[in-house]
Amino acid sequence: MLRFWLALPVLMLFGACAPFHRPLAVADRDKVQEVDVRVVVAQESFMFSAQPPGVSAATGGGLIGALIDSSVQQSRQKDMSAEVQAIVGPLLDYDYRVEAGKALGTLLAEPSSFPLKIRSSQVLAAMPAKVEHEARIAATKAGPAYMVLLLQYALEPGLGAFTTRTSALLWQDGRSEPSYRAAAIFQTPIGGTARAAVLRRLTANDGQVLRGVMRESMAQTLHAVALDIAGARSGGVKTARFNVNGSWVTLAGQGFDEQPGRVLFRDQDGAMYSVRSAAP
Amino acid sequence: MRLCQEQLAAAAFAALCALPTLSHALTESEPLSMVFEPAPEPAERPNGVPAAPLRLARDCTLYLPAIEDTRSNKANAGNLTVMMPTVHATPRSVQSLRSGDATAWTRGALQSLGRYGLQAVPGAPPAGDSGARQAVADVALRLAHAWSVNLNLVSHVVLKVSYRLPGGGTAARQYHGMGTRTNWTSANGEFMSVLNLGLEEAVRGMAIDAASLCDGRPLPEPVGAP
Repeated sequence: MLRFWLALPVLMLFGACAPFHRPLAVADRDKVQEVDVRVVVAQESFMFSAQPPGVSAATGGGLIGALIDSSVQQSRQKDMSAEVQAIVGPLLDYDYRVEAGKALGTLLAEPSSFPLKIRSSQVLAAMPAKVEHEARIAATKAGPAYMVLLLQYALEPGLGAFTTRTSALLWQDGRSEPSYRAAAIFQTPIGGTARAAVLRRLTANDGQVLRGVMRESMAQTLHAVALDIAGARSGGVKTARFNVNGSWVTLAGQGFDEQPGRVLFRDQDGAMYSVRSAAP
Repeated sequence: MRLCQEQLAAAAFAALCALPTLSHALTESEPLSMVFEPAPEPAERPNGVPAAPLRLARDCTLYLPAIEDTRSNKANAGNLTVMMPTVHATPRSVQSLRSGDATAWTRGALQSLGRYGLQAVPGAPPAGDSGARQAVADVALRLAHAWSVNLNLVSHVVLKVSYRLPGGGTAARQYHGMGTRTNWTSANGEFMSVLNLGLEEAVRGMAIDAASLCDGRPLPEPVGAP
């Protein structure tokens, strides 16, 4: 019994490592005639965290590490209050949902940019309740397919980069399990100077730069998902600099598209990245 | 017997730690109560370090002609998102928090200004009453947002306050409050509690400025202006 409880965290960790990416089978893709796309942005403003991802590993991993992290994080989170006020305050008036809606509108204006025929698209301020969500999935049996993009946006600590993290899920034919599942991560550097200067640049001219980055993140996320659904093959190995909670690290993966100043690649777990090719 | 106790302890420990992930006790069909409950003052805490309560003002009346909810999304107050702690983490599941009456919530928090020595009075000051030791402020709830970060819950609450200054001018200030607490079961009450912590901190910031006005001092410069 004791071993079971000790093994539980390990099992949970193994569960966490199960591949998330599920490519869309050609047969399933051919069956989709139309799809309703919903982008769920369930946050009201920039969220912030004092805890870097993976810090549990640095403290020994497992539940004890997580508990230590939790305590440290609460303390650090309180210390961040003044910083949050200085950073998030000036950005409160810029609504990611509005910019995402514009990017979706642009996508709809060019039907060829997405491999599935989009019947409707919408940015939602909240995740539909479970009953409603399950009913919509069930309705795919006799109606259009249903795609949900769960999107979270963030500024990395130190204002080094703007990041969105998105899970894309597609349901069809009334099946409760998604026929397609993918992770898409967008990042663009915004920093390099003092905090006040970064904020001034982001918010100048009614937030022209910040709004542009928000729209680009949505467009790039949709582009990556579109390529993945269309079956874009992985090419040569690409490397790029990526900001993880304020620290720049080098990531490598197999490229599947290239655009001026930007590289798109998949990591070994199939997660897709759209990252600036020139980053600190 | 000793082994049994160890087993129980390990079981309780593991189950406790897994609760936020496994239970998903958030009741998404019910809105948050939006009832403001202040955290106990230091002297009221059972194990708290004895400390004098924060009294910022004496005999100061704060008139509140307007208390509004100006959030861009009044229907929700945050989310419970499950993400793995990896570099390529993306949301695995998302549940939204439904918001109750946030105007009443803000009004309730402003009533707690009494603990700082300010008497909050809804409405405008009586005509002709421009006596000393009073301040007038229009208050708007700009943001009320709670979310989960691994084993913790975090909140961010913003009040936008427009002070009516003697002489007819106005001065606007934003007050940010953050709450953080351990996430045991992701229950609605826990999210409400962390939102209350955030609102309480924002109200405390407002109380400091209102006390300055009551004392006839100018408002401090806004904090964190870029």
